[in-house]
Amino acid sequence: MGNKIRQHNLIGRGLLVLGFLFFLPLLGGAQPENPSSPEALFAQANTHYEKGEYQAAVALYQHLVECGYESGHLFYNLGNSYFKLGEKGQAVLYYEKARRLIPHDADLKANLAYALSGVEEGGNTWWLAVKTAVTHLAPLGTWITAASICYALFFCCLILKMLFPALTTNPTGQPKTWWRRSVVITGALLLLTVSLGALTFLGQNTPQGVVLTAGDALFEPVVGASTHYHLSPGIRVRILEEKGEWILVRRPDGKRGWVKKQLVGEL
Amino acid sequence: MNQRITKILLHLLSTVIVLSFVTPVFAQSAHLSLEATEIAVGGSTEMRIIVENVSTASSPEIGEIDGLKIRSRGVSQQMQIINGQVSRTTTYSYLISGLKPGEYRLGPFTVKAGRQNLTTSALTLKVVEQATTGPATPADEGSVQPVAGDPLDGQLFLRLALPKRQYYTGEKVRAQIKLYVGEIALQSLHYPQLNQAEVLVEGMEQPAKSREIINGQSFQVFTFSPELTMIKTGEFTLGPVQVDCSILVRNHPFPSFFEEFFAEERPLQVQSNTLDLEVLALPVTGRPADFSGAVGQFELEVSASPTEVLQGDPITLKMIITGQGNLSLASAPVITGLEQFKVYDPQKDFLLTTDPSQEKVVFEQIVLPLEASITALGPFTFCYFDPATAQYQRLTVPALPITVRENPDFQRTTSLPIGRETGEELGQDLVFIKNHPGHLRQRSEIFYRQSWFWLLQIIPLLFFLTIYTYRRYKQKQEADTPAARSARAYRQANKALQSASQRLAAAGPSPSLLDELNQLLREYLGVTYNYVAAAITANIADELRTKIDDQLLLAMIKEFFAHYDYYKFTGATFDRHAALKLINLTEDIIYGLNAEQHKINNTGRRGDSHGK
Repeated sequence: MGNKIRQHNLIGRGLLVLGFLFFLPLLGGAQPENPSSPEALFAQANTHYEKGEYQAAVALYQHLVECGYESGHLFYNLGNSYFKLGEKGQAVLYYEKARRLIPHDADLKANLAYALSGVEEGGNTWWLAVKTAVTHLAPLGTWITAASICYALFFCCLILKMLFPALTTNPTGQPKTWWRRSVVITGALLLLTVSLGALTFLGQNTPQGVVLTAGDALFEPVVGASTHYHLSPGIRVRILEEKGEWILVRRPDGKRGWVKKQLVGEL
Repeated sequence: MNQRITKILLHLLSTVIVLSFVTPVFAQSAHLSLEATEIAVGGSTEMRIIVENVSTASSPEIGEIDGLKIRSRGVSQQMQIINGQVSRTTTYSYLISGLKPGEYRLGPFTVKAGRQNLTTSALTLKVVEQATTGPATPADEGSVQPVAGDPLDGQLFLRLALPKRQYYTGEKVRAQIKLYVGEIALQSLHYPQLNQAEVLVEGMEQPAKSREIINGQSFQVFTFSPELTMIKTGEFTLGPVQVDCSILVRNHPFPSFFEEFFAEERPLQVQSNTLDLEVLALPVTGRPADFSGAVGQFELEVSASPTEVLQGDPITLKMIITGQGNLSLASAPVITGLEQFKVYDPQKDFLLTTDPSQEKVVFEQIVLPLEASITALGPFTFCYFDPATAQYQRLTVPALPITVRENPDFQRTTSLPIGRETGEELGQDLVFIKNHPGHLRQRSEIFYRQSWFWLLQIIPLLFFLTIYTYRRYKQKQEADTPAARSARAYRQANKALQSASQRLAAAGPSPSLLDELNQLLREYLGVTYNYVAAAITANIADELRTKIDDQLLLAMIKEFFAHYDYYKFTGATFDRHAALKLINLTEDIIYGLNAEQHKINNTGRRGDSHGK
């Protein structure tokens, strides 16, 4: 009888310890948020934005960016803050950065379109439109994850055939249909995801920029050279060459011109 | 000794280096401070509740205290970034005026910061009769506020003055803060402080120095002229402005020549008078649709360059607005008649002026005439609010004559009238910010930037290669080739030899062991060299001469069969020693033959010798 009671006590204590261990993370979660954590700084920046203190909001968002943090929402909010401060070029720059991380965000699409309304980029070729659409289908991380899964599945199929030939091969010695289909599908998906991932990677690593302040693109990298065309804030350009404090940029319509480095923010 | 000093210095240096890399941890706390713990009836002091390292805190509840008048003076925030750690200070300021003499306990006050309640300590404020001591009653404009106590009484005071009492939101006004210094030695002087939520203070620069005579006494006057912008509507009290300074107090009998050596430096804070102001909102009725947001009195000047262009060539418009007031919120002048132009966004730039009371802004805008028939550009209008007349005013510059010549190379693109570019007419605006930070992480923390992720990708390939290699090996083993047969025979022979050795050790020699060894060797030779095992005799050594190069090995085979025949047929005793010797001989033969086989397989020599 005594043993039974002792056993019950032990079970009760065990359950109590288990319960404590289960709720321990919840107790930890109730701790006050660290005010210098990136999430807290993000919230503070949002509060400044809501109060109309855009300069302060930009300072905090930028602090996070300078500390090496990134997220689509962070760049999006930074773009909004710059837009509110009247810095259209900076706004487009950060919207574009956000687009690489959250390409399908409807708010981002709307704000980018709004920021670009009235910005004359000098025409857009169909090829460029297709390229932009393809390279913004999904973030680079998504393609890498998908390719990694397809790659593992592809090898799983091959390994399965070697380990369990009876499962994957007909008595005639021919591979079974389901196995053949699996290999073809995973192989094709692997090829597709690797291709799209490579395109996205190349698209993101091609030097590109956004015009931050209005200026002229010149024929030569010399002060006083003839103006080729005018660049207004927000125009997205491809950076082709660098020469001292000058860079050679190409507008979406293909026109090239030299501008001072500080005129363009690199993506 | 020198070594010891060097060691200590190195220790100190390393400690400093280590400390400089340590990230400080900023704790959340709340403090209460009083500018003065004793004031006169009618006098006032500032109470501050300083909350540290709290992102969002609710204002503390102060309540009413009989005998004191407490007014909030707003909240100020300060952020510091040290070694990558952000510390934040929020200060709630209150102006406490003494109404009745007595001792009053202030605090403890509680500030709610997120889920935490931070509590300050308590302080005692003593309010004494007017006659005793303490700062004087806040005076009206033009009066002075002397600092209490000898020898400074009436020798150091601060005056805050504004040209009027009623303002409009956004209106900019230049304040005058004058510090009067009488017969005292001013040692140091700091900039005046005016932390008030209702106004924005700008341009607190070096003071102008002058002398003034008040009631027959000469004062040195330091005049600060900051610009104040009214940012909140309603009635409020401006000030008091505070100036921190220090003076030299003579407390010795020496002549004035030695004064600087022996005088005592006394820090002081001087407070100015306060001013009751009223800030009105800009009138809604009669506000023109093209109101630019500027408040003040301005002039508009417009120029265009070049005025003779080819169709499609850019014309740069310069619209300069000059005047007294606030132009920071002003938008560009409105240009009418731009239907036949392509228009780019205007660029705003503030210009320096020689007169500090004047502001000058230039808007540069590029327009491209799309038609050769255009003869004029404009007119230009700029609408602002004039606080002096309390009315909206409109400045108009007539259209500028331009000449546009036809350009045969000009390709017409879509014309964008100015109204379309603003976006507002399209009914659009920015979508609000995101409340959640999303996947906020360090760039270096992204999984595909980590080496472990790419190392992980090798695993399926390695797994596949391992299984593939193993399967190839197994297939090779199971195949009916001479090499496979030989390998199998070798394994079986080794097993049998091991079993024979164990039995010898356990049960001693027996005739069956002799037969077993004979059988074992014959089977091995039979499988390896494709003979019928039962037909193998001692002559096998001669037959194998064409297949085995190693003469010693052949001699050993011959010796084995000789020994076997000897013990089997002569009746000689097959004792433990003989058995062990025979087992070792068999082992050597099998090992040697296997090595010979490997040699043949690897070099390809005698490759066909097995297939008899």
